Amino acid sequence: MLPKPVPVLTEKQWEFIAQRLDKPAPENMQKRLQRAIENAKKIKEE
Amino acid sequence: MLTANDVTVSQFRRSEEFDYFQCEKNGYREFLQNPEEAEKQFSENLNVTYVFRHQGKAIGFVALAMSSLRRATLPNERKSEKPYGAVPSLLLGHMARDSKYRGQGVGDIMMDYVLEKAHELGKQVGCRFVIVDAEKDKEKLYRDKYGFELVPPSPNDKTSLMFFDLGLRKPDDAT
Repeated sequence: MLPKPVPVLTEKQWEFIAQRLDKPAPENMQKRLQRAIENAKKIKEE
Repeated sequence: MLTANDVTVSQFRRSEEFDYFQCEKNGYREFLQNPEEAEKQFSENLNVTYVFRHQGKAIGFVALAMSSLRRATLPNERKSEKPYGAVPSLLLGHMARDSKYRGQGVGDIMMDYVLEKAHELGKQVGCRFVIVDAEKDKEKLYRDKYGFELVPPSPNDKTSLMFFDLGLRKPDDAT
């Protein structure tokens, strides 16, 4: 079951994404990522 | 409620462990009836399926592939514009958990694993976002529970293209 192809972005959508690139991720995402990094270390790889 | 300490993970190994796996989402019937497809796609380097287990039993899986957010048209010469047309991203192609484990935090554990993997990948090959092209009814889940953001939708979109921003690389992230 291959993933569906990701839709290409319209100009408006691209502008929205592009203006994010030179900025840090929003604080809520930074916190979520930090939590994920800490928790994922506890998952034992078989 | 399960925690990360209760769960193990490996790449997809055998289809038999999905014999008793149940999922509310109809779209996964194909995978559950033909899970060896995951092995085939791994061998073809198209995506990798990771299986999460509790006490040895499969409780969920994710399928990951390299991807990008791409603009429909090529960049023009405007100086103010980013000079590229795609942002490298990790695609969360599929994510499902056994319905017997509903409400046990399995989705959170699997998402932690995906985000951490993307973070590590980003240090090695460049990866700015985790992206998911979610069914409309999953948009709230990805936004409220997992912290994803919606790409502003286009008219007639049947799915919700969403992203998790891994942020700017910090100098001490170099490996």
